Amino acid sequence: MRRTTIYVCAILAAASIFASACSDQLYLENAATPLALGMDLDKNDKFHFYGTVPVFSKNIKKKSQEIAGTAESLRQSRSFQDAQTAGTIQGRNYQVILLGRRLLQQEDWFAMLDVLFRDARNTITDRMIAVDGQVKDVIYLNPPDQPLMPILLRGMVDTKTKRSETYSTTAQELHRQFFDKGVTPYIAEIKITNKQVQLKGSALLNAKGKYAMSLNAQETVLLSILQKQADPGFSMSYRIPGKPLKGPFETDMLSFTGGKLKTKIKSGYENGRFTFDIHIKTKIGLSEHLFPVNVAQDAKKLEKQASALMEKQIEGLIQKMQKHRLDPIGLGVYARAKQYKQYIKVEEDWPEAFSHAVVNIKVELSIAAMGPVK
Amino acid sequence: MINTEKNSITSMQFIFIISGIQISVAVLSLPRKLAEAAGTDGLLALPLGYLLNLLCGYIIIMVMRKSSEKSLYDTLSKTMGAWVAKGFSLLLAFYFLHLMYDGLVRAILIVKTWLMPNTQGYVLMILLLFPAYKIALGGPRILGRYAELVTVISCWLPFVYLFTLKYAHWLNLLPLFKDGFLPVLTAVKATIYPSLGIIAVFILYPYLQKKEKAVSALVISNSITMSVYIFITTICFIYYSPHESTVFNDPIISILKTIEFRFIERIEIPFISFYLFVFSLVWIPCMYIASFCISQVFGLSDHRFPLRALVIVLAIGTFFYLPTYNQSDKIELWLARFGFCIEYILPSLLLVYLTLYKRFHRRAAS
Amino acid sequence: MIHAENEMDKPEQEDGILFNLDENLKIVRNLFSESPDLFIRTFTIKQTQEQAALLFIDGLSDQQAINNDVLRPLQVHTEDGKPGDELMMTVGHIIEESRWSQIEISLLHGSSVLLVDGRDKAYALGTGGWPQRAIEDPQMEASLKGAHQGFVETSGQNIAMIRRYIPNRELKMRRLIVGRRGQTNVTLLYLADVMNPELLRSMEERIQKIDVDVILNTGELSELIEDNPYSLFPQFVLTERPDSAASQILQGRCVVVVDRSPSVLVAPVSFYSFFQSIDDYSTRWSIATFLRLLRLFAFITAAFLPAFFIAVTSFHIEIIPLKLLLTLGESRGQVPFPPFVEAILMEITLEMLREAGVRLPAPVGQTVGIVGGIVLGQAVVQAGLISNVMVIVVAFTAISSFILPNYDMVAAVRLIRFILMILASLFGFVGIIIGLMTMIAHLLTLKSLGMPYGNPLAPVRFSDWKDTIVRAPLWLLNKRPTSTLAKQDTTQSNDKPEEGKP
Repeated sequence: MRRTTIYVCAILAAASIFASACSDQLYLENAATPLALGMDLDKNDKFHFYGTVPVFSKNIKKKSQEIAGTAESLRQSRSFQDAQTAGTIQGRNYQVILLGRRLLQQEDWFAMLDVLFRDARNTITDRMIAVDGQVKDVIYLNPPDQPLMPILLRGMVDTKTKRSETYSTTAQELHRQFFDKGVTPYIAEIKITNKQVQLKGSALLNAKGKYAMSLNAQETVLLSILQKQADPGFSMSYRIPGKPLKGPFETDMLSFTGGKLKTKIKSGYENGRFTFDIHIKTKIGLSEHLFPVNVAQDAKKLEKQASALMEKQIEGLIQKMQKHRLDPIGLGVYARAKQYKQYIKVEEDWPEAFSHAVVNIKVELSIAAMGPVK
Repeated sequence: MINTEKNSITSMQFIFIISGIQISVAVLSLPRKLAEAAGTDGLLALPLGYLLNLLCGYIIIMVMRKSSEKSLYDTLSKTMGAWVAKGFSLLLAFYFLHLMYDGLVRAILIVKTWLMPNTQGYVLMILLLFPAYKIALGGPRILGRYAELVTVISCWLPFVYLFTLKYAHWLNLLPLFKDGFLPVLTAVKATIYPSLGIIAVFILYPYLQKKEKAVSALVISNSITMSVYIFITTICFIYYSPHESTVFNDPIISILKTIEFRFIERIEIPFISFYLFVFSLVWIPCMYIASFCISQVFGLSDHRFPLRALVIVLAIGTFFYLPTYNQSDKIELWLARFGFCIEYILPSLLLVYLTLYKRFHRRAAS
Repeated sequence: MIHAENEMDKPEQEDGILFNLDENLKIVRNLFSESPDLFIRTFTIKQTQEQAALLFIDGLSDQQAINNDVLRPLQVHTEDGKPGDELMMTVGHIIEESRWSQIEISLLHGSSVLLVDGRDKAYALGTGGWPQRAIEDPQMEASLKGAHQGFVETSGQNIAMIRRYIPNRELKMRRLIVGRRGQTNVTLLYLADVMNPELLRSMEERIQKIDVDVILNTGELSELIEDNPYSLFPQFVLTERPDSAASQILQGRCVVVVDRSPSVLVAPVSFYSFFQSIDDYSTRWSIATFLRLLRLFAFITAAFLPAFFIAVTSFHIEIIPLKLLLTLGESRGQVPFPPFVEAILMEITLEMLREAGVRLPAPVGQTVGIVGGIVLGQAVVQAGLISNVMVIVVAFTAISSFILPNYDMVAAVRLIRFILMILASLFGFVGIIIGLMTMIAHLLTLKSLGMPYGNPLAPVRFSDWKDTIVRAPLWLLNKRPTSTLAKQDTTQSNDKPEEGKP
């Protein structure tokens, strides 16, 4: 008798739990999960958001729906976003976040992304992509011969990152770069040309997040090499001086594929300036040379020429970065690790200190393969 | 009063129970606390904390060796009188209740933040109490088996963290002792909260099968705890930039969000659910120990009744009140202080007392 | 030949057999009124010229044996004897009885009973020959390389089959009678120098405590002596293979053979015993290890996969990889039910199909399979009632549950699956983990004949892992499992076979 009472009580209690439980349920088909988030400013510096929501239906030709609007902040605009779709908007599946050029020209826009980190259910592995132009153009592009825009962009960024031609900087990684005082942020950059999305390379932001300069694919590779992030298999091309040009073709072109990199960075402090000796060493495989060369004999010469060209380009790159007060290489991290006493004095404005630093580059390429053709 | 024969635990179970109480929820915020105290040098405080724990563990074992009776409670009631022993048990009960409540509240808050923000706290509490009650009812032997099993099924967890090494910035760790030795010493304070739980030896020691191995078992369990802490903290420090480690409340979980697999987009969701197993290693043993101590205070024959009362009070209590995150932090802060007194100071006093008592007693006897 | 010797104990007046045959027969007719299958044959024994009556039950006794070995020798004239002499019968199994209650039991168990005028005792002749089935391949536990003999319904034969594997005098038995009406013979088999006596005694006590009318089956017996009958998990292995029963005995367990039941009960066992099959030892150790891990995986998927699917689609959509999200969204988009209802519908359909397949005769059973396959696989999806991913999930669980070698464990998994599905639909992953935790808590406290059920995972016994989670090469399996607390723990001292030299 007593037992049954206890059981009845337990069942009642269980039922009451279950009755009140289901508040977090959200069926897949009831969720609108935008895959891309776009943020931009219009001409009047009003904040705009954009989103691409996939449509789950076999009968509808167009696979995605675009949402847009103006708002003060992302979360504040949620009801407005919700109002445009059949489901409830969930930030759980963002693949890419697009940042308009006009937005990037402001400082401290990063605070707008706080909701990503604060709402634990949001993703933080979404790829940050700068748009050279307006985000609107990318979101509403919808080319019929390509997959959904977010998937296209994500794939584009991820695969090119494997070849070190851009950066698949995630929101979390960007967060890290903003918080690390010894490095300035860098993200992927795209552009619309002729109604086609094109990957430009990467965009460098200053410590406050303001857009500073863009790098093309080859410069991005160089930067990756300096960051020790370049994977073997990156490809570079140089025009070797002194080779004859024939017809309209630039037959002085040399292309090679890099092998495993050995980048050594030594830091020092002399005469009130930081010094960095960067020594890059790798074996390369020739993938293309449009001019005749006897690799067996002239390998040394070719190596030297290529090394010199690469050195020069890197030096130019670093000068440009110093001019813009940028340190995407993260040399500040080296300075912190090795020259802590000096570094800590300038930590708050490391890019400024870096702009005065002396950076010596040495590139040592050695030809390891020339392909099956002599 | 206690049947140690039928409920004995092996050394391995002993090791995992102790390590479990120590690690469980405390590991989550450890990197942040270390970073707050000493930046990346906080890592260096861990070995110091380890030595401190070894010493404290040794003292606790010595106390148990010195106690001539079957359990510490019996020894105390013989040497100091029944009321002192009861008071001691009550103190321990309070302490373990505190530890248990902290663990439960933490776990619920974490589940609420990361998985089910809209679910009522008491629903989660009732859910968690189900298995906990069943295990705690079984006594030390079942606890030991549970701890063992959880260790076996969750030993793959650390390996997942190795995936973050792809983004490792080892230079973050350098230089060592960047601001001198003092910040490291202050960071040792942060290691106290995650080391709490050694005192469970007071209750578990009588059940241990091979008592002569107690010291080595305790060393092993502290080493396991410490290596887990060092591993996790290192992973966090080389992943996050130095100023960033302090931004995340529970860096251990936040770091999981960044791991991507092809077949599963966000691994932190199944992980946090799975972590409930690890978390449960604190509240389940504590639940048992607390109810056991209460049964000693009231002279009950077993811990069943206090355990039932405890479970019901917890379930009903959470219906009316569940601490917020800030309050839970406060609980933790108090716990660290309380724990320091109970785990580090009390055993030493007991040891001194028991040694003196023995000496006097022997002299009186001879 | 009968040795009519000790007549020490005089039977009581009511129960005892009388000297007078006619009166005895009256009593018999009284006892067995309205039992037309009782045959009474009266005749004169040529040898001693005594009046006698042979009683037997039609169908339970072997007519041939009665005719040739009892009636013929008794009626053929041989050298003269005097009343009270030893009787000439060519039956091996003869027991003298002097109580009606005993005679009744013997008769009902198939013996024929010879009553002789002037003697106050009866002879129960072992001429039992009830309807029997031939020894066949075991149905539930078919094996590829193991023996193709399964237990039958006669305990004597079953014991003989086990003894064929262990021709050792240490193989001892204890015979117990269970059931007031059924009087079922229950035999405990064990190796006396291996089996832990404590466990044996506990088993014996449990069987003796049973007080029921009749035990029809081993399953019934196991439910009556289980440690925790409320549990979903089976706590004893029921096997119909003599070779696996023998191997269990050799590991220090005891086997309970129940008369009239084609399966025997093995105790004590652990959770892992249900994942082993005798084929593991007849195949190479590498594949056996693989299969054991596969079975464990199958257990996990069979129990958790639908719950996982429900949790993901109704709580944690963020963990679905992007490409899967799009296809999943598309197929879920047209389904009118929430995932839980969808899953329950499909699981119940599956269970129905399975149950239908079991009961139906083989030719019709195939039709069920086809209908089920088409209904499940095609029509339901095309009609937009169920998403195709759900069909895959259900099919996968079904396959997983077929892999498990033990029916009782599969039955447990089927129920657990539903519980977990409910939990998952209410609390997502947290629900699943709570379910798992409760299951673990239950497994930890569960016992089989007093031994921990979770062995060797809880308590962890690494030495036992060699023959549970994996199957190590045979020469490494030198010890009996610790979970049986065997008295003698070494089974062999084999070393790795030497590499052959040409």
